[in-house]
Amino acid sequence: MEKTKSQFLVLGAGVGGICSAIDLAETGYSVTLVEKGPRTGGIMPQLDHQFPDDHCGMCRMLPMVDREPGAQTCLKRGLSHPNIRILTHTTLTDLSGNPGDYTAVLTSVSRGVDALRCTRCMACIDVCPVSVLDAFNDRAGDRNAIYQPFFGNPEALPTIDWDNCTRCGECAQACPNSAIDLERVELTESVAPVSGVIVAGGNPLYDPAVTDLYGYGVLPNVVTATAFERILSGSGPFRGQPVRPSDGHPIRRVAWIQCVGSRNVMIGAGHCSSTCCMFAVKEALLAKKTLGSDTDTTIFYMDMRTYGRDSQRYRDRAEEESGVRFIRCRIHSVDPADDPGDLKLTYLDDLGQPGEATFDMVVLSTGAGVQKELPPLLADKTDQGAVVTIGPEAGLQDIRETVLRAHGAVSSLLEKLNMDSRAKTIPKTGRAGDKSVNRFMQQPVIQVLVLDNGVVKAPQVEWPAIEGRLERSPGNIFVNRLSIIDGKDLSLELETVLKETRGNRLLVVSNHIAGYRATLTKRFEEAGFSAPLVEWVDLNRNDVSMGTETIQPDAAMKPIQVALMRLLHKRPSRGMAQVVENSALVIGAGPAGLSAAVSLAEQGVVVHLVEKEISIGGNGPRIQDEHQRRPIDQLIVRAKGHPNISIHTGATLGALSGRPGHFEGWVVKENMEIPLSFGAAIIATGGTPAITEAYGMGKHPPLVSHFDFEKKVLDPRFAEDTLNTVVMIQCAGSREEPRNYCSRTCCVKALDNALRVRQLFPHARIVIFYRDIMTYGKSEELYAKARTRRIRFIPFNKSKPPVVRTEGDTVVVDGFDPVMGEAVHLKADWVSLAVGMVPKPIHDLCRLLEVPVTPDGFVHEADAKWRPVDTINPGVFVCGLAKGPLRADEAVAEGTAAALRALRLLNRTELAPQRHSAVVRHAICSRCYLCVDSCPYGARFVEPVLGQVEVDPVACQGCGTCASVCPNSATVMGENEDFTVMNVIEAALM
Amino acid sequence: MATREPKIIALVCNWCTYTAADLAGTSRLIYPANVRMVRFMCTGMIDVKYIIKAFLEGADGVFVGGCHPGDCHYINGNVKAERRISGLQVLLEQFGIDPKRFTLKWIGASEGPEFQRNMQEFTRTIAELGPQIESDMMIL
Amino acid sequence: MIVEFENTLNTPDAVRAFLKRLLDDALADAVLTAFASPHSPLPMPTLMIDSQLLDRAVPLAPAAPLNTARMAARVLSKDIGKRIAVVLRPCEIRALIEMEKLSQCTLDPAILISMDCFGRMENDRYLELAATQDDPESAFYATPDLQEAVCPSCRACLRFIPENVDVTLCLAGQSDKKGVTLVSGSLKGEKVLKKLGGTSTDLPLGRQADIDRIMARRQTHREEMTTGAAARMADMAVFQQTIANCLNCYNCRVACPVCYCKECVFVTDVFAHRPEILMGRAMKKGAVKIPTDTTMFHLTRMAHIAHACVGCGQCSSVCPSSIPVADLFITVSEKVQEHYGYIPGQDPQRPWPFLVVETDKQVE
Ligand code: SF4
Ligand code: SF4
Ligand code: FES
Repeated sequence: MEKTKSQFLVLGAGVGGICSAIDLAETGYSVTLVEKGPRTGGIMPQLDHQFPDDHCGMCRMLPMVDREPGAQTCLKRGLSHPNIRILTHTTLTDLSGNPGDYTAVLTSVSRGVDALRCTRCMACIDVCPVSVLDAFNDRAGDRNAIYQPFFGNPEALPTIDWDNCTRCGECAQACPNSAIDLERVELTESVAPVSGVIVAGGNPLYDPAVTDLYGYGVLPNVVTATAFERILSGSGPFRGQPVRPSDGHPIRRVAWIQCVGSRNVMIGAGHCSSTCCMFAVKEALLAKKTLGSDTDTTIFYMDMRTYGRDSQRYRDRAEEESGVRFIRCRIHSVDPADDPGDLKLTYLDDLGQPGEATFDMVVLSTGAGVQKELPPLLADKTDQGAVVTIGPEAGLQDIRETVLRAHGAVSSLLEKLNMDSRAKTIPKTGRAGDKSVNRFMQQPVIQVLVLDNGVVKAPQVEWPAIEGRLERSPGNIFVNRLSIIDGKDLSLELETVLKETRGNRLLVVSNHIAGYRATLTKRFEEAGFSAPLVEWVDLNRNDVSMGTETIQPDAAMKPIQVALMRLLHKRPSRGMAQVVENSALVIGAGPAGLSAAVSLAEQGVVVHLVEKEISIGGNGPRIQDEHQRRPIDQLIVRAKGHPNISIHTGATLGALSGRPGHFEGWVVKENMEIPLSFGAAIIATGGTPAITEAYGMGKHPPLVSHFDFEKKVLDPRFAEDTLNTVVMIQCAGSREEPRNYCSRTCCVKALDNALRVRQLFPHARIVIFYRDIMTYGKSEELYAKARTRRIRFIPFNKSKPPVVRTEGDTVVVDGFDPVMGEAVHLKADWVSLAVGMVPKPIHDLCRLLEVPVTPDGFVHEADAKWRPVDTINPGVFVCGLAKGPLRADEAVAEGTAAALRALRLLNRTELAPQRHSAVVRHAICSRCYLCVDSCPYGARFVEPVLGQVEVDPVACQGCGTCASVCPNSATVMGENEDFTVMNVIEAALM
Repeated sequence: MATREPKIIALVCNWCTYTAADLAGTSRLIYPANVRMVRFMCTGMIDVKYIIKAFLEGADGVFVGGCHPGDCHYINGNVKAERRISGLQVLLEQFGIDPKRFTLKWIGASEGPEFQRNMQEFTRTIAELGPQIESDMMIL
Repeated sequence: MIVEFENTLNTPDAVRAFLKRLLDDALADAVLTAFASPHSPLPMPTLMIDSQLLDRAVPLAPAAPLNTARMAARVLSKDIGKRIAVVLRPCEIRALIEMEKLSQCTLDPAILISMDCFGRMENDRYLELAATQDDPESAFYATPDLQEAVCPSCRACLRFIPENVDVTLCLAGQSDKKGVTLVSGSLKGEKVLKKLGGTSTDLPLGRQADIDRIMARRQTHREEMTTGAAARMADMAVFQQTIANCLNCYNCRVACPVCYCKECVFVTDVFAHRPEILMGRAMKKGAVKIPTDTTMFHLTRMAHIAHACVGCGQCSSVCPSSIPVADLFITVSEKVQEHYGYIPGQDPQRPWPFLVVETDKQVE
């Protein structure tokens, strides 16, 4: 592995931090990921499911291309990547120097537990007398002052919570291995040179205890949404058998109160926290799943903000199929009900009528809390461009948004630092001439290293008996026993064995070496035993040693046999390195495409920008608001003048072949075919205002789309006319089938228009009919402002929309105002309809690029949350309106995010072959193509001449679906070939 | 035949169920020691041969554990596995292999207790059913 | 469309005349059917262009020494612009349809012809018949006793009326009549029959009664067979007894029309164990039989194709150790097919069941 030249600091190891760390690491830089708390993962390990699909999928953040250098495990249990160093319990205490060349000082607090001595027996946790409310369970459970903060990671250390530890010494006494040191030590290290810093501090959640809202902190059955999720979780305080905290009663009736700590100017929180609505819907569904489908779940809300592409359907399903109740109201109070533990909710519903209901539990949908100020240390440097923050200015974000911002932050950081995009720092494996590779080429000879950790008190092992059995096993096996005593004796003896061994595979058998693993791995690597040549058996593992004093040779041999079998079958990987071209194709030159193109070009990538129209800019130039249009105008100028960008207007993609890293195709322009080759493609085909016939649109001239209305309002002549009444109707033709999604942008536009009209005509009547006002995040303030400007908001239900009719020449809108309890008839000068956005037709293009399309005609991203700008094809990315409705500034941000994802691929000169990937043995393949149909990644295709099945080695993720559908093992999986697996099974059943 | 400890093999996916197993381990939720675990990247790669092999090698029960539908790291390997495995269950039943000896369960990464519960129940079921195949039959 | 054809000739001759017309009138470029060579009466699938040679074709001979579906799939492995009429038994048609799903052939250029099938005899039995009869075909259709002498799977076959064919040769209800009644089952078949120019009629009068009679008998046989077979695999021990004489010759899988692998996994390196593995196994168990994996083979073959078994019985016929492989297969496949709701050869559009991802579970 080559030494990385530039390194970055990422502060905070939540979703955003992990995401940007992986992005940087995969782009070729080394990263120090600094986390103040005891573990990585942020809020994720606390949540089992996330909207809008009720699944986790965090692991999908791991690299798809060149997957193997990092650990391939669930990200909730931790992260491991050769380019990322993770420091928990650590803070940045100083940063000096200049962008591109900072010196950082990091201060770490000791955990109080010696990693080498601790056998993870957890005796310490059992004896700790301190019990504190567990932050991991958001106070819905307890833990001790010494605890295991990582989730399901058997190698993770217990850690002392210094704030709560009383130094009573019980744990130190209980530890059989004297691994505990009760003195809190701070260690300082300085890291230099640091090129840049990403601050991913996350957003604190609002703490309802501060304002004592709705009885939180007083009534034990009023909990936060996070706490409720923990209550439901299998890893939570009730271990998957949830009961009511106060009395252990079953939970039958649950209420959610929305906007707790948000949209409330009285407590200084005017913003909308954007995520809580969907979070609540998800949690209600989860509750039904865990507690039974007959559980009464009710969400009390002001507006249900299901903005975005999939959210509306998700909510509809929850309501219509699962029976989650939604009540639009204002909550008055939560009080104890007659039955002890029960809670009484009183509210005013949308008709202004008081209501009351009783629940077992009340869940507070707490939004974003008070944002921590950036420490001056960092705040000073944000102007320099090399200290970038993720998100805080935008408030709380859902996963998708956080991931997008992380991509964007990395992209802008790299762009600003003007890094050489081909920093050749990607770890390379599998080079010929490499000792490890040579070893692979030989018949397996196995060197067993028995590592006896004599110092610690772990179950005793009868080594001679085990060694005897090993030596008698068939195959070439050599055994050496070494003892580890606090790591000291490891060095010399090990060196000799590794140097002199005839073995070419290593089997490490030990009774507790968790703490040594990293060091050993490095030593082995240096001696030419790369990770795939080594198998580890730690007999101190749960399944072998559970509850025993001594480990019987029989029990010990089971895992050893399995590991032996795996080693005997290890073979060199069969693929070849794939060349990567440092160029990209960007399809569509609207705001998203332009931004992607410029961002890539700035980082040295050659960009072919293909646009169907004759001019570039997409919807950009049509943006009426100058302030919003300016950045796009700038992008147009930059793209036109950039030496790395060649622009093809009036052109479309004609044909395509190849694989991620190297595509070939041509664009068709005025009957000319221009051949192109490129390493990655970005789809940014954009969208257009939807055409709708709703409300008689197109029949009466005063009925216009909100886009056209905006144009009119901005026209100076508009002010010259008289104007009495403007009616706006939101969600025209959208948020119901067949176009059942929210276009995100219309509510804000309506508010903008309304405020502009108000300015021009202080006495005009302005009425907005709406279903839910989707002013997520900061735009909530616009909504608040509009309400103070005598703009009348009338909510309606999708089953009872307002009616537009004509009376002679005038257009009249009939509706019902539930707040005033009266019918309204409005003679309108203008009726502005929020028509929403639809994507441009992209089916043909997507077929060429082998990328699926959603039923609404958007590009289907690889994963809505975790890979928002990726597609299932690792060489194709997507951004902007092509993928879902968004604002122009959001499209620009997505463009940079997509550019970064492409850069992760393009900055490599080549891609190493992967061990876990599929290979076809053509000679015995029957060409039934079942594998081609079953590959979830479209990684297989049929070569047209002989009909052979070919695997795209970059797209293949090694899932093995193809191998299991192939009846005669004509498709085989790198390390998991049938004979290997069957022999392993046989060994396991010994 | 002398009664012996039931032999149980658990074929689990790397992403979810394996994590759940480790979570059970770190939460010190004890599950029976006769469960032998073999890890696969995904249940979608579990070939019918593996299961047949396990039974013929003397497994008294075969447990397959993967991610919940939708959570599969590889999109839908688990549902495809379910389809294949359900047919195999029917098939093996014709040979006197009780379908109870062979189950497929979805266990998510955070469901350590669920993993433990499943292992305990499965082991109990298998113990009740008794051994599946005599050792001299494994020669053939 | 239903046409009565050549009602002056006896039935086998009428069928031959029909096939000849296909070639003579250029309705097909070739005919693939059973042909008895000058050296043996045992019919072999043969691709015929010269209509004169069709005189020796025996499309109705109650024998099928090897599986014509696989042979047909070879001829039809790609469309070369020639129309080929293939005459197959209903079970072979089913297999061919499965083969098309597996991309092993294309049926676009094929004219599929099949007959009401009275079954096939084992080879030695047919040779006996041919030695004593000048016209074994006619003799077979005329003699109900002989029809009982077909192989066990045929006696237990309930799907003896062709499905998904272009032209059906109606034989049931035909015994005391001359000629043959042709029924089209598709547009393609109808075109052929129109061009033949026969008179349009009804189905032979006694056909349904004949079918019912045969069906009733076969149902009894089938029950007997499946009960017997179930008992022979009631548990692993009994099953191992049943297959105790298996030589791992893999003839059954070679003969099987739906075992489509170019090379069976059991003859690939997956099961070619290295000596250290064999030694290890022997050490563990005290002994290990070589060839290994006999039980494994049979179970795996079932797991791979039980859902597609067409019940032709070829596997039993070719077994040198007289293991009733087909009985076992047919019995198991009944259950598996029911489980998947998958009936091989029934619906050409229905995908191979392993590929179906239940849509409510398909999550993007
Ligand atoms: S199905 Fe096969 S080719 Fe496709 S990703 Fe999985 S392992 Fe690779
Ligand atoms: S298994 Fe036997 S009966 Fe079934 S299709 Fe194959 S050869 Fe015919
Ligand atoms: S990854 Fe767990 S089942 Fe596919």
